[in-house]
Formats: sequence, structure tokens, C-alpha cells
Amino acid sequence: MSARSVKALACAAMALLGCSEGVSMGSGYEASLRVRGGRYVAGEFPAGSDPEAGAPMADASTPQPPPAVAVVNATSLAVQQGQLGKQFTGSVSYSARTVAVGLEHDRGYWIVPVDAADIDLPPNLAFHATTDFASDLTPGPVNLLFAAIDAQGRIGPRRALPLTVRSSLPDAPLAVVLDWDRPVDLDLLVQLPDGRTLTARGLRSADGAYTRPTDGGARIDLNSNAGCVIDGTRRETATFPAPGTGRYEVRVHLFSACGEPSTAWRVRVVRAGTVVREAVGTSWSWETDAPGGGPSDDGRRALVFEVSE
Amino acid sequence: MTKRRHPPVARGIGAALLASSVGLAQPAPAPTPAPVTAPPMPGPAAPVEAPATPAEPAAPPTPVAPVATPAEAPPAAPTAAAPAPVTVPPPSAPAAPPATTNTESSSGFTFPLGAFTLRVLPYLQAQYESHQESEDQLSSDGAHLLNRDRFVLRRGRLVVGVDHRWAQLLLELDVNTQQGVAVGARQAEATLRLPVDDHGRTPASLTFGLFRTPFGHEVLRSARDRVFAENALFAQAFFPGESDVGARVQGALGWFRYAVAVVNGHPLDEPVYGGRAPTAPRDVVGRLGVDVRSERVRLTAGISALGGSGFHAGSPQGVDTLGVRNTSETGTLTPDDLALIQGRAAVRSQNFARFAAGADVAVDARLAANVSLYAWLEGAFGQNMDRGLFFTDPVVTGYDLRGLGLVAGATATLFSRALVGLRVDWYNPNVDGTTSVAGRIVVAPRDVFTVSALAGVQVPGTATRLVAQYDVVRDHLALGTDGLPTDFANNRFTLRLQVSP
Repeated sequence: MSARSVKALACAAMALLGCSEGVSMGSGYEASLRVRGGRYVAGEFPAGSDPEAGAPMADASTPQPPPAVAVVNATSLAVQQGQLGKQFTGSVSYSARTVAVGLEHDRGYWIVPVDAADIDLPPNLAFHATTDFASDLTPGPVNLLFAAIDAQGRIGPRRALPLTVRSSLPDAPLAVVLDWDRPVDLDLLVQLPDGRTLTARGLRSADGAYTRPTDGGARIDLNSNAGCVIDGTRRETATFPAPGTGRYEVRVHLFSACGEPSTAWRVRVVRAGTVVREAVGTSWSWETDAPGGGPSDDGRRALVFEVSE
Repeated sequence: MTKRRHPPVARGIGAALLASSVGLAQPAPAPTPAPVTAPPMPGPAAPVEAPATPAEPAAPPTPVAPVATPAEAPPAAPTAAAPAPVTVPPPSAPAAPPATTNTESSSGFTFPLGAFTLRVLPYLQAQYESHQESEDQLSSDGAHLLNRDRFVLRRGRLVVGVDHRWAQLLLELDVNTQQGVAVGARQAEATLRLPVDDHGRTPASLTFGLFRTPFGHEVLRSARDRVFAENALFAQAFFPGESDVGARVQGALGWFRYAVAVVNGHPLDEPVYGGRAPTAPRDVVGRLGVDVRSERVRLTAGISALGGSGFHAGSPQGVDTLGVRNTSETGTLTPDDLALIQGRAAVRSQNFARFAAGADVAVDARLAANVSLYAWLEGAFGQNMDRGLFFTDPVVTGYDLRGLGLVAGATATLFSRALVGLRVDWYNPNVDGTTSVAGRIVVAPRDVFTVSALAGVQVPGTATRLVAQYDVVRDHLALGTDGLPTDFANNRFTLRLQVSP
């Protein structure tokens, strides 16, 4: 008996028992929005019912309107690419049992349960959604959609919350952004036209001396995952409020692989919020310095660019 | 190296190695090709002293897909047949009761060493498995693989026994790739006993070490002999890894079987404390049973009970920490984003009571010349007993959690070469389960219902087989649009190759 036959038999047995296939719950990584604790549903955000339509109640001819989202609250209507933990709260009709949440035109949406009574808007029920936004979410306006669902599975009208997605890239006159994909201690180094090298510690001159970055001067925002204390950021950004003209060389240095075999990275040169150059590469664990060693070498060259004005 | 019918001394360990202490072994390959003239079963499987084989490193009892933790226990009595590598057992051992069915299995290889007998039984289970919920991703924290479609070495076991007239040593080692390559002991027993009889049974034995918890049928059955891929869910939940560390007294008096043990109460694959003892041993567990045979049928049945205490870990002393939360969503740190999180004094740990009771029955019968059937039914009830799948802790929930499990299954061996089987497995980890829907507490089902069907082929006279199994799982692990738990699509398919003498 083949596996297919076995499956058919098993399914037949289940059918006889009145059982059905379950719902799938993907990770939702394909979507630009993720809702913690929610159930992911692939596909278009469901079309809402006509709020005027209603459905007859079981015990009377009085139509019961589909559930509706009355209020949605957020700290701000701006969201940054890759933002984590943004909270949305709201209020839905008393008949609602769950709420669908999703970005317009996204690959899927999420189902979250409603909470207890909304003490500010009785007899409505409250709901909340803790959301994460994808790093590659397109900057610009986007609607975050909400729709209430009742116990019968009826979906109420959509309610749109207009959000503005901000680029996570700096809008400085010149910036260099290094991103990578694994929890390793990777460092961004930028050799400036004057021969000094910009590091997370400051400006390093040819003799190895460091100068602390000054207000308004070039700087690297942080040393992510320094010493393998994993912060999850996996990004370092060098900003140049007043970039000098000349040749810049961007280097990527794997200070410590933190137990990982390799990491893939991307370097982007950004001018006034626009990416003008990009390079990708991979750093391997064998490129790291000896444990405890500082950046004894400057890693590998990622790209070179010129600033002419 | 010889494979033969065990002399009295050796037979004890044969039983230990292969006999299910309390129950029948599962349909193993029928002894010899000759169905009707089934080879005599050397001795009524030494029910009592049987060791069992353990399970694997607990699988993320992912609520999502209640996977499995296997176990294994020595199967039935040392069997006659089975083309063996080295020695061919003499036609009959003393007073070998007529063999019946397919529960017989090889006893491995024996090496007489003076007053001792060394016995070795290897087996290996490798498989391909496919899960409906599998996804080529990592969990959001990067710590877990969401892909579950894979080839995996489920169990690579080596059971080694040293048998003496008055004593016995048993060691079972395992290597698997369930969660990366892992090597460990699944059983390690040191036993003093009264001499075994011709059937490999002893009226009394005392064992210290790591052994299968003497409860029910599923827990004591060998994964080598169990044709279905894993144990029933309640067995995985109540006894994750099957084995526990402790002391056991067991024996066989005619058709009567008994086993009583005091164990640490933290089975091998229990997360966090598995194989350890955060509390003094308080779990007393045992099984009373019967093992009756006729020419064509063997019946085993028993009742089991466990009483003891679980452990709720307290919290260690904390320290004040500074918390950062970007409440302003400005991307820059503001005073509102900072919060002092005060450390707390240590919180004491607590014990809680738990108990379980169960009953089981199994029948191994030769229905016709070329057809043998193995069927079993087992049920168990437990309070605060789930230590492997859903983790019941009344200190957390504020009330005792009652779980109930039932399993019924049957496998048939056709012409000594083909296997078919069907199993129905139901487990409710919390019969009083509730959930909050729209601010109201409502009763919510939590049970998991699994129908498993299998088909396979086997090499006659051995435990070598290729089996395909499909599990249809109906549970309540997903969120329905009505706010209630609903069925999660997590059926699975397993194609397993087992090689063993």
C-alpha cells in the first residue's frame, strides 16, 4: 500500500468521523506587517460587509449589524522601516470576537482576539495589537486596515488608519549604512579623504591615535553587537553632516563571528536620504581577529566613492 | 558470537533486553516465515524485568505539532526464529510455550562469558518526515527551526546487557539527530534478582538506575517493537522520555506481573529538570498485570497508578535594572523611554501533588495461517501530570489540571512480510480548559485527536521494516475567528526504515 493510499485511508477515516482539515498558521514572514500573538492568514485583507446590511438574528427578524471597529489608537501615525513593537489599541462592537489587522496590499493579514470590555466606550470591547514592520517596507503612505469579526465569522467594514512609513536611512548630506544578517560583531570603517579612518570609537589617525567625534562632526552611531553582546540592531551608520570632497573608502571588518560561520552584509551610500551606491558581501569567521584583539586590520574593502562637492 | 536460544541465565537478560516488562511487545516481525507452525516462543516474555528503551530528546512539544517521544521497551520474549548472524538457537528451549503471533522478536546477539552472558541488541530508525505546518524559516528569535520536513535519525540504539544468575546489568545508549546530533543513555539498570526460570522470569528483582517508568502499556513498549512511529500523546505527556531514575521491584509469579518503583519524578525528556531531582523522590508508581497465553493468543492486561509531587520553581533574587522602551517612537532616547525595573527578592519554590491511574489491555493473536494481529487499548487519567507537552502547573493556573488520554490501535502482519495498522489516539491535557473570549471566561476544548494509518513491509524473522505512516491530527492549537481555539493544520507523514535483528 502506497503512502498516498495510506493518506487516503486516513483521510477517509477522518471524514467518517466528521473531522475537517485545520487552519494553517504560517510565520507571516512574507508579510510586511507582523502581529505578535496573532494568527497569520495569507491572502488579501478580507472585504468587509456592508454596515447597513446586517443579518437576521436567530430569534427575531431584527437584523443584527456586522461588527465594526469603532476606534483605533496609536502613539503616532508614523512608522519606521523595521520598527518593532508598535502598539495599536482600539474599540470594537460588542458582538466582535476577533479583529483582522493588515496592511493594504500586503501578502497577508492577522487575526487577533478581542480583549475585555472597553471601559471608555461601553458596551464595546477593547482590542490591542503589538506589531512589527518589515525592514523593506516601502517608504511613503500606507493604510493599516482593521475589521472586526463576530462569532459567526461575519466580517465588518474595514477601517483604515493612514500611516506614513519613514525610511530607516538617514537623511544627512552623506551617510554610509552597513547592515548584516547574523548576530556577529561586524564593524563599519570609513577612510576619509584626509587619510583618517572613521570608526565607532572616533576618528583614527595614521599613527593609530583616536579622536573622539565632535558634535556636528562625522560619526558612527553605535558599535552594534560589540564584544558579541548581541543587541539585535545589526546596523551601523556613519553620518557626515559636512562631508569633505575627495575619495572615501568603506571597509567592513568582522571583529568577532560570535560563533557564527559567516554573515552577509550590505553597504549603502546615502545622500540626502537616497541610496547612491551599494555593495554586498560576506565575511567569514576565519577573517576575525584573535579573541580579545582590537581591529588590528581594517577588514576588507567594500566600496570606494568620490564626493566632488 | 552466537545467537541461540538462551540458556536459563541468558534468558533473563534476553527478557530484559527484549521483553516488555509488562506487556506484549508490539508486532515485530513474525518469527519465521512459516506462519502456521510458528516457532515456539521461548518463554513468556519476562514481563517483569524488562527494560525499556527510552526516548529522545524531547521535541519541542510544540504545541503545534505534538510530536513524539518514543520509548521503547524490550519486546516480547526471546524468540526463537530469526535468522541470526551467528548462532542458530536450538529448536526449543525448555518448556517454551507455543508461540503465537507477531510479538516475538530477536533477542540480539549473545556471548557467553563464564558465569556471565553478554547480550547485544542494536537497532536503528531513520526516517523522512513531512509536516503540514512546516516552513523554511526560523522562529522570530532565531532559536528554532520552523522547517520540519526533513530526514532524521530518530533512534540509533545499542542495548547491552550483562546477565548473571543473581544479577543483571543493562545499558542502552542512543544517538539521534532530532535536535542536532545527540548521544546519551536511555536506560541504565543495575539489578539483583532471584534466579530466572526457564522462561526468563524471576519472581522478584530489585533494580536501581534509569529505567522505564512502570506505568501502562505504551510507556513500557519498545520503540523497536512498536510499529507506529511514536507513543500515544498522553504517554508522551505524562512520561516524556519514559525513563526515570529510581529504584524498582518487580517480578512474575505465574501469570501475575507486578512492578513498583520509587522515582525522582522527572522523566528523562522533561524539559529543565529531566533526569534530575529538584525535590526528594516522592513519586511511587506501579503496575499490576496479567500475562496469559494460549496456543494462538496472548493476552496481557494491567492497571497502573502513580502518586507523587511535582515541582514549581521559584524565582531567583533579582537586581534593579534599567529598562528602555521606545514609547515615544521618536527613535531617540527620551526620559519617558526609561524605566527602573526593580529587582525582587527570591520567591520560594513549591511542590504540588499529582497522580495518575490507568488501565491497559493488549491481545496478540494468530488469526489465520498467514495473518497475525496485535491490538491494544489503553486509557489513563492524570492530575497535574503533563510534563512533556502542555506542562501542567497548578501553581501557575491556580487550579489542578486534569488530563485524560485514550489510545486504541491494531496492527496486522500478513504473510510475515506486510504490515498494516490503524491507531486512534485522543488526549485532553485539561478537561476543564477555559479561555477568555471577549472578556468572558468560556469553556474551551483543548483535546488532540489523532488517527494514524500505516502500511509497510518487513523482513521475515527480523525487526527490519520499512513503514509509511500518515497522521491526521485534529486539535485546538490555532485561533479561530470566533476567538475560540480551533484546529491547526498539522497532519504529518513519516516514512521510516528500521534495521534490527
